Amino acid sequence: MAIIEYRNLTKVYKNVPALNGVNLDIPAGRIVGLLGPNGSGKTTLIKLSVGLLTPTAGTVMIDGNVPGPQTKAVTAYLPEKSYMSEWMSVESIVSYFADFYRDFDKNKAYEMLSRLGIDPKRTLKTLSKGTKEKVQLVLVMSRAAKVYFLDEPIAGVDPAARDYILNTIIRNYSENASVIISTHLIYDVENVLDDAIFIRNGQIVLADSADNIRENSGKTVDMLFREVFRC
Amino acid sequence: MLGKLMKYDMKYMARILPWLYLGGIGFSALVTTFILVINNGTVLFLGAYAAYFLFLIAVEGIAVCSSIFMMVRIYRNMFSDEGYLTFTLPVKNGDVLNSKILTGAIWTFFSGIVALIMIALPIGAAIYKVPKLLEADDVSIGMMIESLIQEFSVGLAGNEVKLIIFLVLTVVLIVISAFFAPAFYSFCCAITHKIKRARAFASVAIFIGVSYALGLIISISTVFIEIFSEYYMYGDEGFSAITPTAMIYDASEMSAYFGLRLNIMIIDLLVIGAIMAVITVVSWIVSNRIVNKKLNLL
Repeated sequence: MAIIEYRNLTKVYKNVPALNGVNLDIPAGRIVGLLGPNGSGKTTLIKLSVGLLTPTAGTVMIDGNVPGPQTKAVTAYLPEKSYMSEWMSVESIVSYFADFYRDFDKNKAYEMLSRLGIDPKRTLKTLSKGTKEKVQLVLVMSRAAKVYFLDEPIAGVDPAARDYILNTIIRNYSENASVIISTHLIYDVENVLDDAIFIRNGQIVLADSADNIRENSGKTVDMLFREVFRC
Repeated sequence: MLGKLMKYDMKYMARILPWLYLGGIGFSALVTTFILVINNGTVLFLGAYAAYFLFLIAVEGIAVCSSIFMMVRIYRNMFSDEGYLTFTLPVKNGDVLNSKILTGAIWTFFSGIVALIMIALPIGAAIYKVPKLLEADDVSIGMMIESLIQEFSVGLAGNEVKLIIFLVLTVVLIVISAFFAPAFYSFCCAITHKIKRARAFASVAIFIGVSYALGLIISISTVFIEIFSEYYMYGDEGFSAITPTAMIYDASEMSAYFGLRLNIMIIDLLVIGAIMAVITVVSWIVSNRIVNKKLNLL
């Protein structure tokens, strides 16, 4: 059964369509790569899914509901940017998550922070950009959500940090949950993907399991991506 | 969930505003001490005069600072990158807005109380000081203050009901004002939130521009109310029928003059209150609609 359903989903910014009639079902318990070049509509699709954007036309359904308090309670979202209040300390942002999300595991968050050597007493404004990204990842992955939307989680970080981020995602997402990872760095994520969705100019070009893609095309997902999106 | 949202909004404002309040009350205490300690009427008069202007700056400063913190919180927490977290919390988007407006109103109310304390302390000290000044060598200042108090009591005779209405309306206006700024600024942010660049500037510019325009409209309407009331009460002669100099010698004229002034102030309060209430409610309705149905965080 699909946990995420997009029906004729369209988003237009000032007469320019960012998404154009997307129809897609994403089943539960899958790690899905939302793959496309910059400006292809990946972030728009995720923002529509988490309720940060209002569709121009069409619908998004998460776990049978349109985006709202019910879907937000079961959806974990990691944006490209830092979305935490700089004045808060790490421990107060942990309490903030614990206050609002019933599925948030405070102990798990503190364990992960301790493994990373991050002092919970420090305020976010005193942390480096990379450390803030790690804190944000810890917060998101400490939730037992039904759907994780991770927008470009490995963009702009060094290969060692990419490994850490991907390992953290794989080890910590709750069973039966769907993880949607948007990226254009296919090579780094290919091994963890169950499914791949290629998106270009706001339209779905391909949506299939990673195994089928490899079997049918005789290429890796990364190779096919380079071929499909060749400039 | 509204309570939880308010808890964090209150925490944000509580980082700085209580210190500002302490500073304001400390300043007021200093002036009060000055009034209580100094026995020379002329020095006291000049000091009180200087303190009056400093007070205006301090009271206005507290009001402006609390408004700025409230506006920063509304913009950052809802319409900057922080909005990505705020609007993905499992709460109604309208509750996020309501939390900001309620918290802003509560802190504006606190600021009002602090301003009252700041003003009440030295006024209390001055009233306490009148008999002492009368006993002192420089009697003129004490007499002046005493005569002012006497004039006020004479003028109020027969106008008690109007005074009560005026005070009640003042409280109502304070409550409306407390909601006005956060509701209207939320509206400014909401209508500009789709702009890609200089969003914060656009929202502040609209807020300041409309607030000044509103101030102008209120000032003009106040002048019209004044002129209208004058002619309504005294015909073509207007206020020349009674002059402040004549009032000093005539208790009934004084009472009539106070009554008219109270009438004018009551009408002013009603007009200002109505304008602000309408803007507050419309701002709240439109902002709610935008965050609930038309949110587009770029």
